[in-house]
Amino acid sequence: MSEVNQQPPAQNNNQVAQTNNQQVQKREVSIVDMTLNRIQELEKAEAMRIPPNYSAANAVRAAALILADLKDRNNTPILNACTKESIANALLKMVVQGLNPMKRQCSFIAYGNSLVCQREYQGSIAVAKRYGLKSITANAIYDGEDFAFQVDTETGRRKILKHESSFDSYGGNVKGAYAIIEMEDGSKNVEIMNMKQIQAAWNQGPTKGQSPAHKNFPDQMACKTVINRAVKSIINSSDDADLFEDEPIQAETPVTAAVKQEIAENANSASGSESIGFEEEENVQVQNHSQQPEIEKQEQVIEAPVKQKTPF
Amino acid sequence: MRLVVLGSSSKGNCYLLENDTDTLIIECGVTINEIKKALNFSFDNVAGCIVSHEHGDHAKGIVDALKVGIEVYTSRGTMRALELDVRHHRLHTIKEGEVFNVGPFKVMPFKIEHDVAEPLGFIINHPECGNVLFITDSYYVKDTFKNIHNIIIEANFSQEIIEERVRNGASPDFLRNRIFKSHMSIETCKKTLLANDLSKVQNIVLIHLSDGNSNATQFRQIIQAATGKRVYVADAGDVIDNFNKTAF
Repeated sequence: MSEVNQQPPAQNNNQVAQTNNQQVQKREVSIVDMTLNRIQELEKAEAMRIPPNYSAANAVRAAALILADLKDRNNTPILNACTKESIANALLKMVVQGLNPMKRQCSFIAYGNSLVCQREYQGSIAVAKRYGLKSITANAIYDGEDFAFQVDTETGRRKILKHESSFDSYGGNVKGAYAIIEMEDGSKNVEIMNMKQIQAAWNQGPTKGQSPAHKNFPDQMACKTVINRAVKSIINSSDDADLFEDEPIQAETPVTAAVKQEIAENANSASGSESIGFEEEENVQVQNHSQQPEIEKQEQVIEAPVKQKTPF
Repeated sequence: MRLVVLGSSSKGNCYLLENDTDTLIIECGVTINEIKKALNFSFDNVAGCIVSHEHGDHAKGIVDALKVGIEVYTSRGTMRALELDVRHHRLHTIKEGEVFNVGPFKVMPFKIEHDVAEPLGFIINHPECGNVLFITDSYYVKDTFKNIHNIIIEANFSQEIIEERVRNGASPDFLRNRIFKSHMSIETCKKTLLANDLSKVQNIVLIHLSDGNSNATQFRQIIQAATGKRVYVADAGDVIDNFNKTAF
């Protein structure tokens, strides 16, 4: 990042920190505004849709607060270390998915000078809920517990037959985890992983399952892994229906508003006159067009003498 | 009497109000061949044809109808818009509020609200079907009506469905605006019906439902629930029997 490289090398630490701080604050403001403006532009042009019940402005400002405190591995503030474009892209990615960084639904990670927004498992649940997930519950299976499941040969869906836990076994050595998914349409599915599969998943991550969190809370981390796997297929196989549902009706256009007002004022209320129509017992004399006088055939039809005014 | 629906959409509108001896053709928005077929190739019973306005889906068959000898009744504004010869011997000028006879049918035209020259709605009287109110292509009507026994009324679109389609990009904005200012929504249809004395009404026929912006089942339920009457949604080919002044 250019500004980082341009730091004068021979200043005392205090001054450097101060300059950095000012720069961070300045960048924070400009990036937030830039991103929000960009979002507004995209929305206006209908090039992007933001999930309902999601405040993009709040999320972007929350992200800015978090980013202002974040430092990369060289202890450089992230807002200085990362390129403006990558920061804006990360924020945009957050907004497009409707994630809230304050709720730990996503986190920001600097890879070199590039900032990346990564969806956390709470975020995955939040997104999956927009796609019809009703609830998801995960449990770890510990050594000594009796666990059995079967696969329905017709639907291919798994079903847990038993999971007998005891207070002694609870919190022991984790041998696996499962997550039960219930969808809004009532369907259920179960995702099950044994420790070997979970470890394989952890090996994909940078800490290879060796972080303090993985070592101290393996059951919770295992649950997190199985939840991630369970919601992944819901999210990745979904359409964008959630973006089109439950939206408040678009603001009236001037035309439709005027029409509605016109109807409200004028419909079924012909001023000062009674209802029109034939009387119940008809003995009305009316002109017969088939015997029109010749004058009818010319332009003066309107003045034709035999016409009657109604109601009568 | 019976109401035969030859067309009830933007593709074409034409209704036959008939019994075994008298036929009134309402709207002429289908080809003369379709009318001929529906009449079993005999115009003997046809008293005439009334046309509400000049749009093709209501008037495209007029020239051919005149050629085969059908008396056509429509407003001067409609004739001019269609560039018809107003002196044609089978073409009759009708005006808002001026009652005329078409054979045994008596017709009272009234003004409706559509984006054309001189659109008209009709109250049609015949001893057998009583007074039939006919409203189409009107985003609302100013009048209220009395002594009505049967109603044929447009329920073109649902505001909800149309807004939804505009949001999804399925329907352009300008089209929504045009429809709002020219056709009757199910919401306005319901209000219009309820603004009138429906105590004598036997049948309500909903017509001219838009292909994309309506839902026949839902519309029927809405009007049935609001009025408690027998409600039909007209579709090309339908025959509604018992279109009478009384239930029996």
